[in-house]
Amino acid sequence: MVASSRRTVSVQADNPRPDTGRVPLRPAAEVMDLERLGSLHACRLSFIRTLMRKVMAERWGIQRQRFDLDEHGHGTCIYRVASPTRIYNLVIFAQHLDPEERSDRVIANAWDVAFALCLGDVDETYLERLRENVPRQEAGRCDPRVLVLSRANRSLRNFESTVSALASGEQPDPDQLARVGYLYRTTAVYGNGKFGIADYPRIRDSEDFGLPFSAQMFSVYLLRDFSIRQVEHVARCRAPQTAVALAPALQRYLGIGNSTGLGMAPFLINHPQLINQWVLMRESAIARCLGEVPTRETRARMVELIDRAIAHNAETSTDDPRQAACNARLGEELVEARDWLERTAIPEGMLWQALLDWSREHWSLETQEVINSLLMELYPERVDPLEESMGATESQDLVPEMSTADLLARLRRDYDWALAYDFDDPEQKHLFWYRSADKEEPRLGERGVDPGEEWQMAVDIARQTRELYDALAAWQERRGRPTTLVEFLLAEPRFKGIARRVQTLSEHAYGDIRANLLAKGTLPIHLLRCKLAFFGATKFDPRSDRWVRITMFQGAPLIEDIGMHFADDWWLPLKPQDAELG
Amino acid sequence: MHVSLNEFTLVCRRALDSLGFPAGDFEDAADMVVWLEQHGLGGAQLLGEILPRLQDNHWPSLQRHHDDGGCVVLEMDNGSLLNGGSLAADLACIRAMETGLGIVRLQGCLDRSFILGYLARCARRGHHIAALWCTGQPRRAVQNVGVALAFDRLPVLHRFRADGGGEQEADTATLTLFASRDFAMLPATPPDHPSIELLECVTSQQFDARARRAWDQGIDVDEALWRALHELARRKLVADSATSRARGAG
Repeated sequence: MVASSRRTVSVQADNPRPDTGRVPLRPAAEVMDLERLGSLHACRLSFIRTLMRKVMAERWGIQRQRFDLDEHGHGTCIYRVASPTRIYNLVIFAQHLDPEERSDRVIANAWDVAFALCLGDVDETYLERLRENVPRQEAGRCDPRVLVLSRANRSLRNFESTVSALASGEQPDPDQLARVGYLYRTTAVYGNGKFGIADYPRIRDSEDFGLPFSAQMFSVYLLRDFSIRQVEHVARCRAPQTAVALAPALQRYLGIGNSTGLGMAPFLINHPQLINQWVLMRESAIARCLGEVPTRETRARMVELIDRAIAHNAETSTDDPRQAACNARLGEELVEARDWLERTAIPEGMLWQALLDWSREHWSLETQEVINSLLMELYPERVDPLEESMGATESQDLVPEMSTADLLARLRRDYDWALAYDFDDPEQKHLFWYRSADKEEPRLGERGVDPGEEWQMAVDIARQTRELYDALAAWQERRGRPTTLVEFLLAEPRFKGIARRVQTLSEHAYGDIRANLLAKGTLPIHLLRCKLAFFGATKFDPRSDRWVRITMFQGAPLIEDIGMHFADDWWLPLKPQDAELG
Repeated sequence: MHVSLNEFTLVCRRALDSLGFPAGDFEDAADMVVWLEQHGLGGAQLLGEILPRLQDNHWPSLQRHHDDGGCVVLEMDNGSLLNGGSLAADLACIRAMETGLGIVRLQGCLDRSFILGYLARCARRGHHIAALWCTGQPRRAVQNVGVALAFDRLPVLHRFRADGGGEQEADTATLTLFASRDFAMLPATPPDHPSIELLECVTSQQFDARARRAWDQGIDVDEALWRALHELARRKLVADSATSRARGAG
């Protein structure tokens, strides 16, 4: 009987189920709540953390092989990368951009820089081919030697003020860099076969970029170095006699920005097995850490990390009222968390679980999830091996022999959250998602107000689930008994997609985000934040409920740091103090 | 037009979605097309040939003519295998699970070659399954036999002369799916069999090499087909407007 059977959280067959020790995983009902996913923070398993560990451990060789820029910083730059197994080149084209054309939207047609990560070396012939296509981005055509295609725009505020400061022999104002911690913002980073570039399976089995999004993140990491070298170059051209280099502490403090809109949201709905894998590994890491018995050192380290999180949060600014309130509350609650940790008399063996329980009862979702991320910092030996299992082979196969009664039982067991919505209530189907003819940009419309309802995207999992449930129940009633699913689908083929999804995700508890994305008041930004946190983003700065700016690689080692001692402790960087600026 | 497999998959899915294939089926149908292309059997060209027909309003539903538990005969009324053919394969697998052997005959079925891609998916789920169909003119026909063994990643394909040297009339409108539970079927005809002429044999290793090449190098698709698929895919895009730009995503 399905309804009474034990629910398991499984992983794909080629990934072992992680051992989590004595602590059970958090239930999907808790973890996959949309607002909680929208409160996630980066952690040790975030992709940029994993990437930096790899690059530093394997001592990748990175050279600026070509740096042909004019006095405005326009021109061509090539980074040559030697991993232990392959040679790659990142080719960057920097060009003049009319300020009126500068836009972070995917519908933009021109950018300050466009770049491509290529497999192997790049000769002049190939460079010209790239020059013809890469700056055009979606309008160009690339070939399978290109692994990643991307573009970025300058942060006007920071770029010009940093050039001015360096040209006059000064360092830029750290306070300003704390407000916006980057010189460039990427607006899309394409992989997996887009516009003719290499399909993901080409690199999936490679030792260098086999983990999700690692090639994309690496390209962004190199862009960060370019942004620093370019700003120094322009300053030197402007004032050769007085210009100074950017202080290393400020170089490390600079990251790369990213502007993300609704385009990211459908990914989370359309790749449930991958999402399950990411969340499962994160939850496994948390469970492993909760099972550890703290020592005096780990307890002190946790206090130290909380203090750093408090300081980092204080240096995080946003104009968005909701996020600003969340940040303010986070700051207050982290102080409470530190105090709780310092004064609690709970026995050591139960301390971390008690902290988690206390946070659940008293603190916001943001605070709970920051504490989880901090906890992971204490036990890298328990967490880091999980990074190897962040990938997933995605395939949803029908189980046609399943009985309709069994599927109904699974729906009641696993999709109770979806069946709880009343879709007769107009507020529960207030919104619809669609793709615009303008570069296929995903957008949100209001039903009955905006055009395009008939072409809505199928991200309405809760509603589809409800319709499947009702159709199965009616089918059984008509037939007088359960049948196999295939018999139902031969009569009602329109339910094949959702039936297969339900069957597949019945074994992947963290695959479906438990929310009705059509409901009035839905905040799509939660979806974006979830994915960005797994990337390793910090400094979440929502610009509306539909797009957000973030920072990546802030605090990460520089290219020059590769080969040096690496503490892997660069997350939550703090603004450099005057003494660090020389 | 040189494209990546992922690009081709996405545009096929969107085009078939726009044509009215149900959710779930448009993905399966597109994947069958891509499978054929990826494995060197001309899926893109075949899709190009049938695309005008798929755009007609003729969308016959499967009619069950016979069902004795182990053998099912479905009438497709000159419908495309892409529309519902995967469910027929699923039905054969279920009957095999229930009775040991499942036979499903799809009569009046067009575009039968596409079934090869779905055989691999049935095998992945642990089913032994074979598909037999004839192509060409009835008196100059070629018998195609695709066999996929449980848990094997790829099928094998054999093609034979099936017209008895022009003496026999082959059934070129039926696909037979044959699934078994307790024994595995293997292609058995030796190449030098006196009465049957083996035209082609593609092993799973050869399919694998073709697939890897497509992943590494991408595929070539006729530009007219590429444009046609994009044109179809665009049907589900909503016209842009200043309001949409501002309200929809800003």
